[in-house]
Amino acid sequence: MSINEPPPPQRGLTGAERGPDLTDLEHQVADARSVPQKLLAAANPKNYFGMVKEYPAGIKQFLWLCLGILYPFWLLGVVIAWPVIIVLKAVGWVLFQIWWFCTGWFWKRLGGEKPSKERRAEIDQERAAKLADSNAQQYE
Amino acid sequence: MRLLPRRRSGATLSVTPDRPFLPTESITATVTLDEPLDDVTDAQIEIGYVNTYTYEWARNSTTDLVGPTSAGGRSDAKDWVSAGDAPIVFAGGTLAAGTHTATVRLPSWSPGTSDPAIAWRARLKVERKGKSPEAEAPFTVVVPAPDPLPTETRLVQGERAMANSIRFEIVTDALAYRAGSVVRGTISVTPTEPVTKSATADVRFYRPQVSHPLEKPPSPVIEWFSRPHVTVAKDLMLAQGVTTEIPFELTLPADASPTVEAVHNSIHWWVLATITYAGMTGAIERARREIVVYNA
Repeated sequence: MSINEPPPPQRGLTGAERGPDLTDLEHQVADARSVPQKLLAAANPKNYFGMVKEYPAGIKQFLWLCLGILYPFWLLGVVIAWPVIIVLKAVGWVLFQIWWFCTGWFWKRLGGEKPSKERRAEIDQERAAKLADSNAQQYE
Repeated sequence: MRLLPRRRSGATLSVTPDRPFLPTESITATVTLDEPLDDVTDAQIEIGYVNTYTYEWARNSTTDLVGPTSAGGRSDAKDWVSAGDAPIVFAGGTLAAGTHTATVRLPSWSPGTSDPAIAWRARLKVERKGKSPEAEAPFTVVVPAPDPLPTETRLVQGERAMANSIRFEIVTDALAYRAGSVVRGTISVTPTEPVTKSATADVRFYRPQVSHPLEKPPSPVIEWFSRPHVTVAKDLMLAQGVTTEIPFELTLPADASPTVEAVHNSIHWWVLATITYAGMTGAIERARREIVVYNA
């Protein structure tokens, strides 16, 4: 056959073939960028104006106008967000250290697992005895 | 009525012969130019189809209890899919006034004209310095029976977790039908759980529009059911483990659009069988068998 015809065009993929959509939380967990990288990406005009790229013609241009008006304030917000995020991360780090220290302390004290009923009764008894002892000492 | 008069394009296009075309047939397009065009670098007649499909322009990426939802976020898009072209012969960079003809062969993979997915057009494509005239003419493509005929099609059942107590088998006397013909077959139902209620069996055509755009996010399936549905059995007492066979007969619309698979969406035909148990809380069990519809 010498008939020369264009090859059939490639078809796209359905939602099911593309696989499930990731949720916002899954995207956040999978995102391996550092905070400064994320902030720079947020300030990048391509990403900022690209957030409405799927909207139909007309609506998209109107949203671009709105986003353009808001862009200086957005940049200001990104600059303010930077130290705020650093401070919040530092506070979080301190809280984590305290919590982690406590976890380790309880772990060592309770033998690495939830104590059995007998062991719990024993611990309660010891604590009660100690309390009674200290009370007795106070009132002597 | 238009606010401003349409700008005269200076070119008209017509397609001969004036009848529906089959894939692999040749189309002769005639362009009539009112004025000569100069500075032309390339001129050709292009055929192709306008693919109308739905997509999701406001996608909800958060997951609800029932899965991702996008109420109102659906929109129609029209994209041009080219299916071949033929050059218009001219000399000296000037396309003379008058008529020019070109013959384009429809590719063997051409999908049939389908409402609303596929609208075939022949277009004039001129590359030149300055404004190039626009002209297009619609035509219809009808598809013949698939060759070879399909020997197996999909049977889909058990899609609903809350109504999944019947094993279905839907057998039709053929797998490919011409538009307007009668689809005869049998539904075999075997309940897998104890049955306490009587049931009604209905059949209808199901024609889902599956969106699979190349770039835009796909929309959920647009469903269409033939109406009215045909009730094939009433007050049916089914029993667990017992297979009941119900014959049915359904007529395809004479102007049914054929089964098509375009670039950005597909429209398939199915025979949908439902078993509705009596009462307010009766479950609606459903299964469907795909058929191929052609119209030439």
